[in-house]
Amino acid sequence: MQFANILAFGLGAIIEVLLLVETANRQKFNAVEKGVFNSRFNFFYELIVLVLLICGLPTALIGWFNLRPDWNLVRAFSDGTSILIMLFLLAFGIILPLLLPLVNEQTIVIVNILALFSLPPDLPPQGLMLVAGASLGVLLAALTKRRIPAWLKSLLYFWYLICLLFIYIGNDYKSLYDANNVRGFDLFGYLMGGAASLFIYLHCAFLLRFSLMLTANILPGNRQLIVDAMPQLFTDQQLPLPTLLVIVAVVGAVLLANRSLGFALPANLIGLLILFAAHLMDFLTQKASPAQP
Amino acid sequence: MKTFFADCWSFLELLGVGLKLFCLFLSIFAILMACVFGIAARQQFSEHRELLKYLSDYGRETQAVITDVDPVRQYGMLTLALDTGPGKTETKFVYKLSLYPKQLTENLRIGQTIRVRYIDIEYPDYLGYQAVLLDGYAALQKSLGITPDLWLLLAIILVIVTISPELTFLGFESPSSNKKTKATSPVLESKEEIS
Repeated sequence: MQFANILAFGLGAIIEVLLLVETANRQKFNAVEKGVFNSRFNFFYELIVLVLLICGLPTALIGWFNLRPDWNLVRAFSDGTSILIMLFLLAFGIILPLLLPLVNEQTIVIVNILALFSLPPDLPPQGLMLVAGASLGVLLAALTKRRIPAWLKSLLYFWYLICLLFIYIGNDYKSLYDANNVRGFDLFGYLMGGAASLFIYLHCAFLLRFSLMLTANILPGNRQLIVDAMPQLFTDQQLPLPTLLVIVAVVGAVLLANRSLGFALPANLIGLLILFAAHLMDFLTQKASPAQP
Repeated sequence: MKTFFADCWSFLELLGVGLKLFCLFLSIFAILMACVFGIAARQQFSEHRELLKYLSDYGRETQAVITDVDPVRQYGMLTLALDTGPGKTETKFVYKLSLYPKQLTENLRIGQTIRVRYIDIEYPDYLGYQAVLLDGYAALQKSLGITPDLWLLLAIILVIVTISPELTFLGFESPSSNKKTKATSPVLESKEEIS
């Protein structure tokens, strides 16, 4: 892999960390940091633009001029990035999952659609039936106006994590960061790959912990624990139904158009749509709602 | 007699408390062990998928003679002398015998001739040395490639966490401590309460 691609991947991961911090800050602590340059903007968005300008420009130049530093330096940088990502995943995916964005049924519907597009073509009929059943359940939960109980929320959240795992397996995000993978310079592709990979890795790491949490529910005495935990992961805030239907139609149309026309790499497009579902749908919900005193 | 039963009961109670404390101690490591399971399972799953992909794309079927059977190494391993052409033999290995059906692997003996499938291209990685039993190929394709010892580790972790879940839920506060945040958060279209 070219050095510039490794830099772009790392840059994408940094931007995703900033997005996760911003989303967690807004959702869990109800705080919006005002910008330094302009108080109308969010501080984290200013920071993202600044990071993109300061680091993105040299990365693009290194890529265009195809600068090749010493192989040991590239290897050290690549290994250092991997170790930092691993430490981040251990800290915020498993030990202290503070940065996981809150999701609702609507987010899960979008991620579910993306997972359906990432399924392997040779899936056995039993697996296909299981996926179809779960997808139908998620759709029904998103369309109904009843507040769902905590145990069902925990199952939906588990399905959301499984969908992200399907997307990871189906799109082979590992190969994006494979040193043996020979590809040309692709700034946007690796930037998106870094951001989406970090988001998916974080949730796959949390899947390990959440599986343990879900299993503890077998004993009735433990069920209050998951009831207490779910508000940290799941929200009841919703977009209006027509807006959801429009978003679902647009996402479906974009994915189908890409399948027939191939205007973007499927992994990059799906990564972009995951980040939209996780960060922007919630932002739209909060923006559309009138501010309460 | 009554005192005897009372003594037995208090002993059982003490045993229960001891078991609970032991599980609480082990649950400190449960999340860490779950990470070990996750990393190892991902590694095994990826290797298995890669092997199946190469076998499907570049696989060739042939006869092989078993030259060694090792039930311990590589989760059960066969060493084979492979017939790769007229007068040509090559050494290949069948790893992870524990993934095959038991009735297929329990009767394998040195000197026995079996049908295998191997990767028929120059492959620099360790996959190039591998072959699979043709009779167990269908079962292998259905398998996730994760060995029984890892599933056993997961089962032990799940039992420990079910008995002592407190540490697994560490960091997830109850909603009562989160009321302030929830009350002030804007709600566009909140869902109705279940009656």
